[in-house]
Amino acid sequence: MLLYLQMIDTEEEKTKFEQIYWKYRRLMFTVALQVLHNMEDAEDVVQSSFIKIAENIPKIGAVDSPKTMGYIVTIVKNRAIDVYRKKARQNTVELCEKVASDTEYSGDNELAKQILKLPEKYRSVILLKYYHGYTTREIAGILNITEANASKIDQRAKEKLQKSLEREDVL
Amino acid sequence: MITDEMLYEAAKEVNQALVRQWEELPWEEHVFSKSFERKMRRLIHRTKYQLLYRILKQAACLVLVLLLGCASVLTVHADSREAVIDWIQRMMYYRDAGYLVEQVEDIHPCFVLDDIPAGYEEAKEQYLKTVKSKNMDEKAFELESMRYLASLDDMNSGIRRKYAFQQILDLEVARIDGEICLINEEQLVEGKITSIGGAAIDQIWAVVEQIFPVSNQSSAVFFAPYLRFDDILRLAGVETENNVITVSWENESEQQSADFSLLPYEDYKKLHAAPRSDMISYKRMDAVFYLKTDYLDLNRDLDDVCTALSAAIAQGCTDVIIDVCGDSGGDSNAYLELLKTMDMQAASYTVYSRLLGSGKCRMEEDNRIVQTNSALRLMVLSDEHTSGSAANFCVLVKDSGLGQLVGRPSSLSPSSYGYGPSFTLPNTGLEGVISSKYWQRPDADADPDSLEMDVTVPYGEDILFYALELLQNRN
Repeated sequence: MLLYLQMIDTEEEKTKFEQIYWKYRRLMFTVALQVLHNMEDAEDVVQSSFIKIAENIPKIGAVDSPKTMGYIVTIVKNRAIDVYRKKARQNTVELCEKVASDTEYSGDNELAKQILKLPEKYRSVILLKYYHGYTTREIAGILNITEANASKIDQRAKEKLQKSLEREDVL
Repeated sequence: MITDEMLYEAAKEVNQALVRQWEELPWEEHVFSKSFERKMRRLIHRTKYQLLYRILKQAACLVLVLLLGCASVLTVHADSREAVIDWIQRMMYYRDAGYLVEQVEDIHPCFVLDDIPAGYEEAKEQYLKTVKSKNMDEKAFELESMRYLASLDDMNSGIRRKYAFQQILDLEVARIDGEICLINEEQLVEGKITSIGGAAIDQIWAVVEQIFPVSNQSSAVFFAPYLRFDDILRLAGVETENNVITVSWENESEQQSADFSLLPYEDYKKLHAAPRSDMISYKRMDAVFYLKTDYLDLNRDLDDVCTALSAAIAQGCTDVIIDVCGDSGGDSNAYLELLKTMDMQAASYTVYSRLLGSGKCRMEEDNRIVQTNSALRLMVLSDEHTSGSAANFCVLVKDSGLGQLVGRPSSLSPSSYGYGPSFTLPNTGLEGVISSKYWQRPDADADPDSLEMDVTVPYGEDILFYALELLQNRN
């Protein structure tokens, strides 16, 4: 009985990974291409992102959920930025700021507005921690950074948000 | 001060805004490269088994805990104990099966050369399904693994049997024109076998095709004698308990039958051991130089033969017969050395080597220039037992137009897989080899699966006799 249950779980998880692959590969490629402007590099990034997704597949929820989409795009975008950084270090800051400022938000949550203005890495850490519920160690694994670095980014992101809200007279 | 609650709420809003943006984004209609698709197929495959291994490991731990916890129950109830042991065994075999599949797909070149055999996927699914669901002993698992590997249609990929065939039916058979025939002591055909031990011959042959890589006519001829083995007969439903089995055959519509013994394989080998022959021997017959090889290596024997051949040519010998019937191969350079002695040079194979851990193959081409010798007529004799470098030699002669092929084709396809690393399954310890290279015959447009003979000699006929007659008629 237990064996049957285990097998069913496995089949489900296998299907989940394949479903994610077929559903999101184009989006992932689009996101990577926006950052890298190079098809080969974008494909490499998509592939390496899928390796990361495969490692974390048990923690991923429903394939169609906004949470899953958010998680996947966070991974691919960060990987694309890493590749970009390696290739053109001098452009990194401009790139991160540009990427971060793209999203429109019409809601009235001031903190959300400020999070959207954060550089990609900072925003990713905040989202992975407070929306996806990952620990600092897990975030470090997902973003390919050290745990200490993840912790530092988390701290700095919150400091930045604090200052922004103070500037906007929200706090 | 920003609190965690504020961050939870804001992060949710941010994600929603991002998702809306991504959904509105025009997703690229990108055609992914073949290399990407291959890597992803491998990843999907790996993910499946990595997950499975992990889950099985967890399950095994749980079972251990249960075993310890329920030790008292298990010691008293034999049925429960047996069920748990069966379950653990099934898990172990399933893990080995997954490992084997992974090795095959990571190493074999057919997966990157778009040459996956038609029945492979189905055989793989069946293999995993059977191992997962059926209680079996290690020997049965070995046979299931052979069945799976046979679907690669590659004679050089397979299991080194841990549980060798124990018994063999003491009769001679051969596959002639698609029929399994009974052969008498004079090597003549007695008739077409219709059944063995009550099982129709087609039924038995179907088992042979499942267990061995029977991919073309030559390999069918090669594997035909394997139908006499006890395991094959049993899988086909033949009762092998009393060691005497009735075989029926028909000869010109006349039905006949007789009893044959099932002998221990060692006894059979002693009884039918072929007389030892020299690895290489030669004879001069007027203008004909006849060379017989059983195995050719770069050694002093070869030097002697080359010297004799060279001298014969210098003395006016115009016909050379190289008889590689039953030759198991050897060093491919030794065969090329023979050609060199005759002032000939063959074209070369194109070799595709699978780069391990990669979805790519490296192509190696020698680009040797063909050199023929119009003063010499070369005839190469082969049969279904010609294999390895000797079989390759036949292909080189044919594709380079260096001479005539007489006899029957080797059971090895002219373009074939081979040379690969060995594997050991982690639980059962079963060992085997998986090809990592593909040799493409020099004439890339020719049939990769069968070598066309210039003169085909029917089974049971003396190939050398045919060759000499051909020479006589030619003169």
